[in-house]
Amino acid sequence: MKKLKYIIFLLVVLSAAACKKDQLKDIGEPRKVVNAMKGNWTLNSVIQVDEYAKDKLFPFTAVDLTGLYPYRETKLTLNTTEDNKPATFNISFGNSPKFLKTTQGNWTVDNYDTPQTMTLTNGTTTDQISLGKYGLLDQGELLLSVKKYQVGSDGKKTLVLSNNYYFKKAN
Amino acid sequence: MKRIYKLSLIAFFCLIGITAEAQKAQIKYTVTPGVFTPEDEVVVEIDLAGSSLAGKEPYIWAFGAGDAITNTLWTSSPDIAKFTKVTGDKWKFVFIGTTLYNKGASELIDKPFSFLVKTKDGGIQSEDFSPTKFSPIMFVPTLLRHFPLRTSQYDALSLYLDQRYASTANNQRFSATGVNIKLLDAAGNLVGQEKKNLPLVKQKDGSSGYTFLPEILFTIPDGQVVNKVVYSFTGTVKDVNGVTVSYTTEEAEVVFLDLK
Repeated sequence: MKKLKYIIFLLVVLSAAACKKDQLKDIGEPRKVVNAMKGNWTLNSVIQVDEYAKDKLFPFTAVDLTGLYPYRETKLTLNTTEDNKPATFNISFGNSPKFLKTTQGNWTVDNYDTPQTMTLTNGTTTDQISLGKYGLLDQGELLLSVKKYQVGSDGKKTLVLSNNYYFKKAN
Repeated sequence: MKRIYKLSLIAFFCLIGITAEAQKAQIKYTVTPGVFTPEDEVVVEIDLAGSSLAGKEPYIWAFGAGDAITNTLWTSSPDIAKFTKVTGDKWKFVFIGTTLYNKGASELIDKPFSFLVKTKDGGIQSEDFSPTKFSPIMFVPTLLRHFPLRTSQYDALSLYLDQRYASTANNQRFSATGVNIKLLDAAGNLVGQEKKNLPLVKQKDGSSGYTFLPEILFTIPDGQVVNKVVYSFTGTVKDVNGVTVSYTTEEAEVVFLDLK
């Protein structure tokens, strides 16, 4: 019995001695979202999402609108300052439906390092757009989502609809 | 000796537990309906008669699917948590799950609705109750369907015909060729011209559909508020003599919301 105790003790000590520090991979530089958004973009697809149905786990939650109208004629240019801060923008719709109120002006983001919302401004006219997954930017894609809310009598906003515009880097 | 000491300790703690349980008010309650979804109105009725909560103003403390908005501070429940007096020691609390928990329906489905009743300061409380879980909100397939379910006049709208869910012979048998669409304002006046027999696109699920942007399909004057879309599907069907005749389904409507 005593021998067994020594053997177990020896095994524990040997196991502990075998441990070595894991070398964690360097996660690299933080993603520069605004810098990645800079440039010329062409609209590639338009997906309408029924957030109300999605919330209730209903079967029909999305419709692809891309082929409905010439959405792909939409071109977006996002310019930045020399120090990579949002500056001016320009959007030309061609024959596509004009799904934003503004066509040119300035763009800003709610948080420079981790932007969630982009605001397009021209005078007193503004468009608020939600930014999609940052990972798409690495693949040369930009997801801009126009969200629609139903506002209750108590002022509570419920997301019921999203129009998702997937842009591809043009250059 | 040691054993007696241990047994005494166990007995002591058991006694404390039993005493604490006994201090919880023994109340009666009903929840109506017995099965409900996160969007249904639910009524919790309680009867405090004969319990230590009798004669006190009761407040709800709801949990199970997370903390409800009524659960602010245990020692000072807010007014929104207060039951409404029915008569004597009978009180009721009415709620809708999505509002009570301030969560979307999908976050509540299959989660329990649990509650207890307490005084405002939490000095007296009932035991915990978990009458049921929130049921899924059922999608009911129908002959006529639109997408999205909640929309505005500025968003694309899809109208679908699925004859698998027809309840009349003609709706089931007719060969659909198109859809008729009209826009109406709040007074019921036509906005633009009615569009007739717009071509249908076969869908993967077997239904037929038509998608459009109201502001492009119709000429809508600037600033004109459109109240709703009224639509029906049209085509042909054989009559009792085998003659092909035109046929149109009943009308359905989609009310536009002022989405922000």
